[in-house]
Amino acid sequence: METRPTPIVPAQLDLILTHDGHRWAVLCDEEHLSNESLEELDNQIRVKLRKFAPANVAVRFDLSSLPTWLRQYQSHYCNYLLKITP
Amino acid sequence: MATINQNWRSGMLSTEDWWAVWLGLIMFIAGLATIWGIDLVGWMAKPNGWEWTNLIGEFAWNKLIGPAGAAYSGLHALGSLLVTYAVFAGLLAVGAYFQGLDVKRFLAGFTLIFLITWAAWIVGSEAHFAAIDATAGGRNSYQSYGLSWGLQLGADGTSYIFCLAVGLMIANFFKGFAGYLKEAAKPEWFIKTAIVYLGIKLGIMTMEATNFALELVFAGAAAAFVAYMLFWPIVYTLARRVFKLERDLSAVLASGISICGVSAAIATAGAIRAKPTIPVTVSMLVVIFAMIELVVLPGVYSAIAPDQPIVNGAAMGMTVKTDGADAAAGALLDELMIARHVQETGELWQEGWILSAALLTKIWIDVFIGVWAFVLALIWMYRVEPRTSQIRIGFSEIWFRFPKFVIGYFVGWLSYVGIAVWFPENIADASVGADIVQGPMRKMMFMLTFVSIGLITDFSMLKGLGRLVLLYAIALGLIIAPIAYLVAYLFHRGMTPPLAS
Repeated sequence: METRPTPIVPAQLDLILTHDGHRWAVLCDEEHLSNESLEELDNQIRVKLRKFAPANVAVRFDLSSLPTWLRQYQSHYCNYLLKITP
Repeated sequence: MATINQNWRSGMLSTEDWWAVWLGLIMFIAGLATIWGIDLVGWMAKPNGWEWTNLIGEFAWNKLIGPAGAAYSGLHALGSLLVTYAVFAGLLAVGAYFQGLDVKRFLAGFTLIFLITWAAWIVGSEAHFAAIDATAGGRNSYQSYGLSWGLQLGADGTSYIFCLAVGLMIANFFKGFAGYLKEAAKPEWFIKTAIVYLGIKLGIMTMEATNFALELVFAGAAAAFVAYMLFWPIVYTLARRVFKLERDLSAVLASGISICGVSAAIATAGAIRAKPTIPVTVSMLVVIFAMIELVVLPGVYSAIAPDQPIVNGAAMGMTVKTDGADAAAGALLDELMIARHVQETGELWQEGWILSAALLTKIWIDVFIGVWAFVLALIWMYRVEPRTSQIRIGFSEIWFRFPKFVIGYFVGWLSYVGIAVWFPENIADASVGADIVQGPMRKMMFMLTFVSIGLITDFSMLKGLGRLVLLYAIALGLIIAPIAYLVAYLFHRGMTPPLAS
């Protein structure tokens, strides 16, 4: 009797994204990653977390990175899901 | 963490937007108690009209202020002011605590802002500033005071101007003091709370003039939609083709200038994953220009089109780019146009409709910020910087950017409409509490907003932003303002507020 292959469920990971005025940064698998370009940082994250692939990484921006006076106008910046494939 | 949005409940206790809802609904519910004969809001202080010669030799605080509710008529004037301070300082301090602010500093700053606000409000209520030489409802307050001169700016118009002027003076000439007050200078929090109270007023106005109110709501939605479709592409093209700005900055500027100021700039920047420094820069421009619009536009609109009050209000809503400045400008326009109209015709328009026109357009614009940011995120992901296989944007982004104070506004509005429809026998009693919440309470929050807007407006922030300032001024003055007026005219021409009874 044929058996169906067990579907691979992607790992679900969470990262908190910050910005210091010059560079984006995350604490990823106990390593501090940063880059001026968010796309480059995403690539660094993919490399770092490849061992968990396939994985969905929920990247959430920490609004405290924005100046205090700005937060009264908008209490959200961005969240996105980063896919890491084998 | 309180500053990270993870699920739909995120920020319910930690963001200003939600605290505007809570503070608004607390007073809304307290106001409803008059249905059962219990007045929980009548302690609210309100300034009385006064004339300075009446105080000479016979000074009494109750000539200047007093409790708003008849049930509290025995309360001393200063007692009602003290209770007003205690209640609002207490509630705001709780909100400040949950938002992670320095509560001691907030309370110290709020106390001073409260005192400045009430001083300006009381001074602005003096007859030589406020009384209008016109007979309305069989009464001419200007003549009853025996005045020989007066600015005739209306009951609250002068106070709004005084509040703004004091705030601006402190921000630009006493920067150390302004820094001390900044923890408590929260114009967006105060105005969003006031807007929730205003929802009650719209509910009452809807009961009195249903068709007009509904026309205002739907025309506001249509005007906002047109504004999105026209303004954003024009300003984006101007930024890219004429000013040669990079894509990210152009998109954020287009949203900031043409849609909804700071909140749209941040939402857009987040949606297209721009560096946060971009919305910070754009936001500084927006705040300064919104303040300039607040000072200039009410006078200009009431002068160029004194017989188009709703057009002026709606145009204001599409032109002034922060909620605080738009509501403040709408309130000032309301005062100026009513004062002018009663002087010229003897007709007294109902207060609040012109303000509502300004706000409703803005509220619709606010509501669609999240949708617009989502659309931009998709455009950036699929067309501008394709990476569809690597990133997914969730629909939750729309909710996270949704202006929560609008929920409080609609709850207030629809609740009073519901009472009128299903429990009409309770309307008279409900209106006792509603009149206080949407009257002096709302006006006090507006006054606090005016002071706070002034306090956070430091014109020196524009230093070094030359090219962006020029783009902003051109886009706003030559594109946004004229098109906004045209759109407002197309949707609202000929609409005038009902007459006051």
